[in-house]
Amino acid sequence: MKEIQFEIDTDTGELTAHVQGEAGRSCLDIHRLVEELVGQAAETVHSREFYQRISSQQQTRVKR
Amino acid sequence: MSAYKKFDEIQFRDLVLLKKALEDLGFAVLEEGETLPLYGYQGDMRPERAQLVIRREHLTSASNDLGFVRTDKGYVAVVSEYDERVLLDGKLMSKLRTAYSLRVVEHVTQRLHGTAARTTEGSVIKIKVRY
Repeated sequence: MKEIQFEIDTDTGELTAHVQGEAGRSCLDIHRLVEELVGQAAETVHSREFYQRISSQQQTRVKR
Repeated sequence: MSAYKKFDEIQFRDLVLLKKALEDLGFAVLEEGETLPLYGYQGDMRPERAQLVIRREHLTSASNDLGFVRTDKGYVAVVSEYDERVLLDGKLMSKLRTAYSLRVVEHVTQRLHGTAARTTEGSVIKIKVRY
């Protein structure tokens, strides 16, 4: 089960999205979806999985 | 006469979600067009034009029209100084942005076929979407 934690500050209306359990490209797709609706102002915080997959992909490339 | 102020820094990217957010705040009667004029509380036409308008008769007795102008980054509000002070206890923009953000979360939840659980901590609304 994957999860996004949204936070809305009602003093300003600002939206923050924490994407968990999604790695690499899937995480970026969700980021893009939120950004399409909110704009650049939306902050998206990537989870550890995102960086793990990126790191793994980078290592794979180096091996080749 | 209350001058109009354009809130360039707050953009609403999606028109459908913006209209739903306005409806959530009780602004259900909207006028849409390409270059709609805005009128002041005495019926005086102002130079500002907008693509989405809430007419003053649907606001308060001393209100001016409230408009939204389409820009390349999204819709931005054009609000008179008077209405900024008076509408929704002077919190029009933060409440509208909050209502819009809630609609964004709802839209994302539907797109992901997820389920949402909402809690509130102080002034922060937290929504967990599982999918």
